[in-house]
Amino acid sequence: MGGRRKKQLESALDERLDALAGRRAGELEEVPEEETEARQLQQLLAVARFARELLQAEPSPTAKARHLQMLMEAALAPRAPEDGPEPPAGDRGSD
Amino acid sequence: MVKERELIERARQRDPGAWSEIYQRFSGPLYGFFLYQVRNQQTAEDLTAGVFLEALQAAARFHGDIDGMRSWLFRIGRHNLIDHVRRSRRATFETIEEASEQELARSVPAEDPEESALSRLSRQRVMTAIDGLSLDQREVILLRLSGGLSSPEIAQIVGKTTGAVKALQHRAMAALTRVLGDKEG
Repeated sequence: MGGRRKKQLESALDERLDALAGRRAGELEEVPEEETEARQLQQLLAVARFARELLQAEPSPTAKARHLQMLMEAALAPRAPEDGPEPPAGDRGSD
Repeated sequence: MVKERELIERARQRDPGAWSEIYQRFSGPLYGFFLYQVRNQQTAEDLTAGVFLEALQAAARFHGDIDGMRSWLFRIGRHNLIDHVRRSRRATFETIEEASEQELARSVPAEDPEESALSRLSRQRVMTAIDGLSLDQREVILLRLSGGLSSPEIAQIVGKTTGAVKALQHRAMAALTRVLGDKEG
């Protein structure tokens, strides 16, 4: 597979994974022209859907209750003068 | 959108209700990311709690939207995971990618009695297939499928280009399809 077609397939998969996660609105573009690549994309997405479903996990209800209690206590505790690490630069905007 | 902006603003002011909502929204994806890396329920739960407590302490200095919050939580989580692996294995690697297979715990998540045998088998098959991926492929695919992050977000978190992440996820999905492709239906 040529470099351009490979990139096209990678982007097409990426767009569809965004859609699978509900993070993309609107129409999908960059459908591979070759039938074999379109079929390959379908297979990759079917496996992604299957794996994504099985990889969903949640802390146990007991752990959730304990974590929420810890968070409530921490939120209500008096603030220390220097609170925690600085968020990474990418997460800081220009107030 | 307005609600999400309000949520972030309340979170910055350490509003307990806001943090409860943020926890409910992101604890599952974070827990899944940790669980399938460390394969230990208790450790994954502790790492999950640690992320929210650390984020809450630094919340006043967070400026971003809800997607930025998700990315920030995962960045903290990945950093803490690397620390955890370092501490528990006394290894000297700098990133998850440099950790050897043996440096990540291999125990299987605790069985849920309500999970069907078929579901358990399927999950085991997926975990085995994920074990066959390289460490950087595994990390990308877990951040993508379990964490729900986009490629640009993953790129920022793992320090690669978006193109490199797209290539990794494509190779990872192709490898998973070779192992799982005939069974996924």
